[in-house]
Amino acid sequence: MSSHQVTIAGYLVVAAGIVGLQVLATRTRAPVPSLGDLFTRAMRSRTGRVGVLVAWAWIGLHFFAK
Amino acid sequence: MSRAAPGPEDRHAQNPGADGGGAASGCAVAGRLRPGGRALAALAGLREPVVWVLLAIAFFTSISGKPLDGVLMLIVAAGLTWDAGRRARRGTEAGRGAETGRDTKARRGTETGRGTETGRGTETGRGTETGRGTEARRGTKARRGAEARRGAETGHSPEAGRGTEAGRGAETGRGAETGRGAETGHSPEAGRFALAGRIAGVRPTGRPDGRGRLLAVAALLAGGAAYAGAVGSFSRYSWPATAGIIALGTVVVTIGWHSPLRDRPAGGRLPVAGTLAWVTVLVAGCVWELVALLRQPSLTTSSYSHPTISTLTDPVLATSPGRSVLLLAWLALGWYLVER
Repeated sequence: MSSHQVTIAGYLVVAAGIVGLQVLATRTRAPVPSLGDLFTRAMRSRTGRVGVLVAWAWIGLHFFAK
Repeated sequence: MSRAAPGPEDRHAQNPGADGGGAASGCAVAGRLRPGGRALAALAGLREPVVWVLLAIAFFTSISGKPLDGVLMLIVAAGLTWDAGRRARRGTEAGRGAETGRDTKARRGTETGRGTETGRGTETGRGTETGRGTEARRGTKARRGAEARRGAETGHSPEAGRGTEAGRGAETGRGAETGRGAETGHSPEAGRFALAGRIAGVRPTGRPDGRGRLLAVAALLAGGAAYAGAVGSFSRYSWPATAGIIALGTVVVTIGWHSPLRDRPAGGRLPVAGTLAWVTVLVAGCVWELVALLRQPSLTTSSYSHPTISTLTDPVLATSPGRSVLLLAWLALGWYLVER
């Protein structure tokens, strides 16, 4: 396996983990919060809300802006 | 009714000393910080972990060849620091104010008690009821409700039921909603109905919220598609694309800065194990991306052997339709977050 494939496999594992946890949270009774619950909790305070929204804005800047 | 001459206790209560009004002014003076103290209070905002995360992003983005991103992150971090410090300072002052308020209330209570002793029972009774009502935000209306409730208990008044509800509302802290209904000439039931309607998504006019929401969603979808098409048509890293992203980002962050778009229940504690699982996965993703970034020939030169997510998305973002599709996804994520 090349370094390129290993790197991509790592991203896929992380993505699978995110999907798996979300499925566990929404389809089973496992004590796992959904991603929405996490965001809601994180965004309860102003700093949390602004922090998450700035992270979102940064994604746009990173991929599209100068 | 004439007021009895103030006794020794009254003079003490009215004495602008360490309690009561005197305390209020004293606290106001104490609450005014010197310029140095104000700067220190502003630095209290640095206790927020989010600020440090933003500063880290600003630093790494700048050294990765995107100084504009870094400057914008720095501006937001500075704004958050200032804002958090300001709120912390206000919180301290409000705490002092609350203590002063409790002192004042206690003093009033003493005065009321004395009034009863000196034969001013009727006036004192009114004062007490009004005081309770004020705490429930709508004193007089709440008092009427309480009186009607007493009627209901004895089985006299035909409007006793409404009074009962109003009284309950005032007692259980729902006096605000009940009082609003009563103030605008509606029955307390109407006030409660309006509240229930808001919770159930039905407007007081009877028009379901769903239609308006559908129209809003349709307008947002159309606007989002137009935005994604327009900004996606500009070449990547161009000034027009940059302006479009910064403009929308500023609007969204400003919205978030003020308040959430809608109230959500506070919710309980998140399950620790499940939350830790999320943190593990998300941190692992960040670390994996960071390792790939650091194994590039340089921070600004991409590597085929160790591609970052940016490198992997380059082929898609090289085309206008690809940019528009990813912009739509970015917009959808933003809307999802703004609604939190």
